[in-house]
Amino acid sequence: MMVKKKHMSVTEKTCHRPHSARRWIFISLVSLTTVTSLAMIASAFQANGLTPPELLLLALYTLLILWVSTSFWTATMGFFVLMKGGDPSSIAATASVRATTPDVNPVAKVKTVIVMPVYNEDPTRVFAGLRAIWQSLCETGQQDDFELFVLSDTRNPGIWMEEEKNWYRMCQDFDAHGKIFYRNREKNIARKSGNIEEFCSRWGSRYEYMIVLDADSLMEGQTLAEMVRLMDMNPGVALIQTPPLPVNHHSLFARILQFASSLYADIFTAGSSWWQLSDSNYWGHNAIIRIQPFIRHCGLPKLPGNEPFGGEILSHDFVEAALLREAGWEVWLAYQLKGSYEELPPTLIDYAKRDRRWCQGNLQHLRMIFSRNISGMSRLHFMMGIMSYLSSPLWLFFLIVTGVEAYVQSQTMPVYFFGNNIFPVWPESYTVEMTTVLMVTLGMLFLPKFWALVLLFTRKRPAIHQYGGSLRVIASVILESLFSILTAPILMLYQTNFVLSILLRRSVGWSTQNRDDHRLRFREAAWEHGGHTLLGLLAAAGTYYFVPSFFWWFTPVLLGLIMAIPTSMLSSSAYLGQLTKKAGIFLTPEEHQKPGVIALMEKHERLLNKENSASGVYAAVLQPGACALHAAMLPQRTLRKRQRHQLNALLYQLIEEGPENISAADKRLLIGSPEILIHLHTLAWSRDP
Amino acid sequence: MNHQQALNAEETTQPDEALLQAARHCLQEYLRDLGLTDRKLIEKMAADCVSRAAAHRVPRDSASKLKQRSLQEVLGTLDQMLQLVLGNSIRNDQATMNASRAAFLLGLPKNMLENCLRGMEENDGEALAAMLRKSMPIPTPPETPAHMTAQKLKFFLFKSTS
Repeated sequence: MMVKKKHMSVTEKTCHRPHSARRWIFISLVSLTTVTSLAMIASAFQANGLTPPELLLLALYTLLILWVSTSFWTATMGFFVLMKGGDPSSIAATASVRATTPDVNPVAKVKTVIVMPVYNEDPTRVFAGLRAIWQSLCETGQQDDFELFVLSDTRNPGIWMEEEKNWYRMCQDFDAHGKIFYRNREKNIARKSGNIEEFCSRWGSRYEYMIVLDADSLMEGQTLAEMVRLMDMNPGVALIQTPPLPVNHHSLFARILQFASSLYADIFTAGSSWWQLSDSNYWGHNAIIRIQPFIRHCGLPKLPGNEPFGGEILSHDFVEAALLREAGWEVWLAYQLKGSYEELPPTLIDYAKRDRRWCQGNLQHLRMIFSRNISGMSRLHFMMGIMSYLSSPLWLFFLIVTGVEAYVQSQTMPVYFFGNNIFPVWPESYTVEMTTVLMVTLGMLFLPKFWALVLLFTRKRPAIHQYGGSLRVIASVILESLFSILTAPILMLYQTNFVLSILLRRSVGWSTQNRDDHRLRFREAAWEHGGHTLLGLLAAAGTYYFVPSFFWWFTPVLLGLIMAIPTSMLSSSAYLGQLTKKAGIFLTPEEHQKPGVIALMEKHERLLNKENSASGVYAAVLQPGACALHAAMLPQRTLRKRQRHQLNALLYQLIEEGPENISAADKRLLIGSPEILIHLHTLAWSRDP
Repeated sequence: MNHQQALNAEETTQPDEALLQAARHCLQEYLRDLGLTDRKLIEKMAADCVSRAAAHRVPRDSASKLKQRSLQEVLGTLDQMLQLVLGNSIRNDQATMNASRAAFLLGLPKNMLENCLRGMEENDGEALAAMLRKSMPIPTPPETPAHMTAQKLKFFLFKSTS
């Protein structure tokens, strides 16, 4: 990268942080675990010399065990940090200003802006969330230091007008005209990163800090105020990421994931913060950013070449964090900050669909690893992002090669007499080594869950009843583990498919996420998982017939695939989600006692649902108030003659062929002109019933 | 009678009572949607607007056209009232006109329109103007332009960004 260390962090000069020691400890532990596991497996292979398939297995295992042990040691470090009561070197432990000359923006008129980029989202949910956040902020009494900006990239004309109406109502209800803003971008260039960039270019200098939210984000006012305080205290920090906790969904699938995040996430975030310190990462939302360095260093270029590896940078967050770090700014993960929430996809299929976009964004970072002049930490962040998706095809490949190798071994007749030996040479058994390797791998996968339980029963005892009590939380962990065993092979196939289709240069579109609870029908589940089930059955028959000894080891993977349809359907059920909730299974503290901002959101959602009864562009055009507001929000510009003719032609097409025969883009064009809009309004009212 | 004369004869004829009735009915519904509740006021205003619309050239058999013109008359009446309250200067300021219309329809109590249409005292006008100004939508603050330069990324093995 061309970016040089222009800015030497103020905190770096004044405070020596234990970066190196911690990282060396961490890297040593990961390396030692990998080498030990590798030595054990290699000793089993080496007896008769390494064959090419065995070499391949070793190479795959090295990559996979590196990935697993990185995750394991992060969790383990987090466990020790939390058992000790916290990390005194973390950003949230800052008690006083860490520099004498804060790097303030001299032209900033307001300290902080909360920005929420939205794209064709449900306006009721979006504004219920925003209202809850703003009300929670008002309760802290610090709302004067904040403004709120809805950055809409919405293309759907009906949702666009609904957003405007909801925005206006919010301004009215909170008496916040001139504090809460809304703009709809005419052209949504470069998706979310382009949306934020356009905001920064037009209004960024008005503010000192920007808190970036996602459409489903929720944050407590107290947390927002604390983030600003931490930025004030740490002038060398450009970005503080809070760990968002998934909440609010009722399907069994979402509840299981919410439970897992609630119980396990702390040790992972504390561990990440422990070894990454001021070189942490950005996850794209629920984070505070110092705007000036962001404007200076985070303008994203288009990558040369076509999508999926070229073009716009999809997972912009990792790249922005790298650019800030390389420019000498600190990026922190404030694992102690609570009151930061998000929502999860409600079903396994929705979860996989979201993964599809993230997968492309992360694989695009393959190129970023080869950036010139970036630090090892930045490369490591990119690699970890890539491995979170690449590990799936690697695991699949590993399983296939293992199966083939087991078959080849089973066909090999043992030779008891060779060379000059007069006594038979019995084949050596490496069962102990291989079992140890398996146990170590499984241990590293499941021990973090155990660490979380230990932490709950020791340091967080008061929270036990919020998880449903001792027995129920243990039962929940066991059931969650079984569920993750069942779903892991399905996700492995999904992600493998994503990786392969991306490598085959099939790009992903920009679709809206499905965020509402909905039960999967058999047809949808069968369509999505039919291939998984079929593959599971074929693999089961193949291994049972050809390598029966391997079959039983393989059953967890086979069972997950064969059961894909019922697992996906049952886990999408909100009824089962509620049933388990009543039984105290997968209970989270956030379900046990709703945090203030979630309760507020639900209250506002109920109210808005009543008010936003009609939806769609036709309903919006019928409403005199919505039309007047939309006309007021449109930029005042004179149309060229040609544009006027085009619009009139579209209008006549609408009159003659009906609104159902006009595309959403054309409808957007029509309502983009105030005169045509009023014409449409009177036309809609004058239609015969 | 040539073709043009035939068209004119068709267009300028006064619409029949059924069309006028349909337009009045449509307008009454529209006015109720705006928040009016006073039946007499609704009927009077609907009748006034329809008769003004009917005075224009309207195709004799087009109920839709008559309704549209009548609705435009209602909106015109609303705009005149806003000009009266906020001053005639907003007539040429389309942005403020649109904003005040939005504020009037969405930001003020529903009975305000009714009160205004019944007629206002001078003090009422000032109070209304203040309320309107307070409720006008402010979509964005003044811009403070800054340029975000696209960073140059240089890669090993891959083509760098220009």
